[in-house]
Amino acid sequence: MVGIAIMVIIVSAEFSAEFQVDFAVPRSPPSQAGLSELSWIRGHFGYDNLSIIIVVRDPSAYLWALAYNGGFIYFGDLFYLLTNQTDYSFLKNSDPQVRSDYIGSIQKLWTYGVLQEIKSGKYLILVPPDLYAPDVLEIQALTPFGGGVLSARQMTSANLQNLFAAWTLAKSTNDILTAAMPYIAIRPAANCTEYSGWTSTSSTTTVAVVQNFTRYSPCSVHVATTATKDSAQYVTLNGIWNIVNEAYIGFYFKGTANSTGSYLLTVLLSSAPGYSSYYYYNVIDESLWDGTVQGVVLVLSQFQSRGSPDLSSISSVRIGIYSVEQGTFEYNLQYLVIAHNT
Amino acid sequence: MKWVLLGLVAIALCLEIVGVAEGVSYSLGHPISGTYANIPIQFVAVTSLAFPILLYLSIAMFAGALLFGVVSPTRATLIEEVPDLPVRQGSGRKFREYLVLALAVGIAAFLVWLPRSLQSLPIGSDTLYYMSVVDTMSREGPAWAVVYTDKPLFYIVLYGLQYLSGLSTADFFIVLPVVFAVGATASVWFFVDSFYMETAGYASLLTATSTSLMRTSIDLYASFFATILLFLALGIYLGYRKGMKPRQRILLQLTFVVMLMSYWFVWALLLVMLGSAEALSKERVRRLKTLLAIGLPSIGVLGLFIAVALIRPPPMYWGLGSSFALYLGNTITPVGPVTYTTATLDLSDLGLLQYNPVVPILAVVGLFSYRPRTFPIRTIYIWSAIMLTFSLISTTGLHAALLIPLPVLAGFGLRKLVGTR
Repeated sequence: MVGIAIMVIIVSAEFSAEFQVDFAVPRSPPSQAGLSELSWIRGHFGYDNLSIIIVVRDPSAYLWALAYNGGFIYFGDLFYLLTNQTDYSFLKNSDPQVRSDYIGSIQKLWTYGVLQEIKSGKYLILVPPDLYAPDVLEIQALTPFGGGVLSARQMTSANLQNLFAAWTLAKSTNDILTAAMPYIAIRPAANCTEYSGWTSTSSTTTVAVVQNFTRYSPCSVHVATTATKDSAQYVTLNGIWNIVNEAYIGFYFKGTANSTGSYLLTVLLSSAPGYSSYYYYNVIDESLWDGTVQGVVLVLSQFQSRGSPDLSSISSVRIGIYSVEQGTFEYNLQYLVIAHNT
Repeated sequence: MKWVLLGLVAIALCLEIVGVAEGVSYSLGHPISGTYANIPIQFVAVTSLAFPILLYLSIAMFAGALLFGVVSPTRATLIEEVPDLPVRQGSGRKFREYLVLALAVGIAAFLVWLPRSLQSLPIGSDTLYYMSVVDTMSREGPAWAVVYTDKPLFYIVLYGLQYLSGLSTADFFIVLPVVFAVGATASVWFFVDSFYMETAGYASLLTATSTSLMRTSIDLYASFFATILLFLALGIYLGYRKGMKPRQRILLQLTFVVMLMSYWFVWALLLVMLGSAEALSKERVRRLKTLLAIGLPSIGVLGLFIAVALIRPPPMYWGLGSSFALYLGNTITPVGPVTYTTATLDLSDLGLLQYNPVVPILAVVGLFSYRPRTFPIRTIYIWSAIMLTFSLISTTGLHAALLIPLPVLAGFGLRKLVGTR
């Protein structure tokens, strides 16, 4: 009997040890760069500095920012904070964690009377770019502060309202490229004659130049891919681009996906033969594939790199699909552009 | 029949232990080979497939056992037959019980410390929030917790402990869960020892190895702390219920106040379950009066907090008196009251049960074996029924699921299985 009791306790302890090793883990931390940004803010301003507001919009980043920096952490979209408006997409978000974090963050700002004085210039609003990943329109309201961290710049109320209007329009139309046009200088990366240079890297992907689907250029490229499990399928356009003074890459996109697993669009910019050195960016938002026309602007500073790529001598652009499961993907891509702030 | 059953249980346990040991050995790069070496590993793999199903079975069996205990014909149970007092006086036996307690505490400390020794970053999302609270209090002072949180005393205790320990906030939150795990294990022992000494060791050992002790989120520290207080308060109440002296009454009154100001959900549970259990006792009027006298100071403190909340509504005061709606999924924002979560029927919060099926299975055995004839068991039945119900509601689910006294009931179950009487 005692033997059975001992064995029961041992088995119970085994289960618990297994549970501990599997589940007692840190809350998914932000990237090292993100943590460095938070550390820099703490080093520069101290913990719980009530003269700064740190803006994040990821539940994990919110908790890490609370632990690292304390004070005022705003969880949500920057423009809603700058204009002191309630972000109902967060307040009524389907994700309870998002709702809860948003409410918690605005409650603290409300408690300390920050929201009422948000436009007074009394508070320094800091955006750690690796945690927040500001889009092209949000970047117009930001300026470099130090340590890789951005801060909200002083703007007239009219300019801020115009930016906010452009941003909300971009959100509602899924077309940030058109909405950002007044704020950025755009030049096409290739014209329609060069579009015939798009080639596929695999037999399961076909590529062809077809008719345009927006008014911004007369042609588009059509890509159809049958992806195997856990694979990436690319189309490539070779050329010579010096984008060292550019800040964004953009395009119009219209695509559909048929896959049971998750998938993403990936953009690669190579400066070395055989893609031994390149920048890459993954567009993980699957709503991109809802079949509607979407204007996309990617921020070059948010690209990650492999090897030692050089923005002054980009020799190849690749657009690809990574799919966890098997699937079929079809998309049209038009008006591939590079741009910088005006 | 009993021996055949026990034989099968013993074989299953042996296979499980050997299988897991072989798995660990394999993961460390030392695979075990041999003709029959694969059998235990296969057994572990097959049984683990059944765990998710076991979850629903456990809930059904647990609810069934509760119902069975209430409606089935009662008979004299082991607890009533055990002459507890003479047993209590046997010093040799007591020494053995202390030894088991020490072992349980050691296991609890090791299991909770284990992942923290392997990770460099703070574990669990709640830890990040608690770190921010303690650091904020370092700057704003302890009064901040009273004005802006619903767990003022608990946060003040944390702040004080961190200050006294001299540890950095990050290091403090590595040590704290271990301290709480030890406290929870010891408090379970104290509670069960107050009415059924022979089971205290089993209950504490199963507490030490239950996944409810291994939690990493959902009011991790406050719930832990309040659970310790709950077991201590129950232990004192049960131990001295029939002849309570003023000293013990004051101690209980203080414990109730601390509990209210640390995690009012548990304070409310304690009052409701003791009140319900006393309402079913023979001397209900006298007993309820005593309980009211114990609870009155904490009720008064609560009234005070509510009065402050009414006079100074959010965002001026956001403390204990204005936070009750949180558990109902309601809160106040600059744009008015909002419902951030709605109550739905949800079984997912009982998911913890599947990670250590030993405890719920033994808990069901415990419930089947002991009817709610005595006051302690009646209290545990009421406690289990309330928390099982709340654990099925999405807004209170995990808070309640962690408060079901499964390790205590499992201790009864194990005692029943291996007991000689």
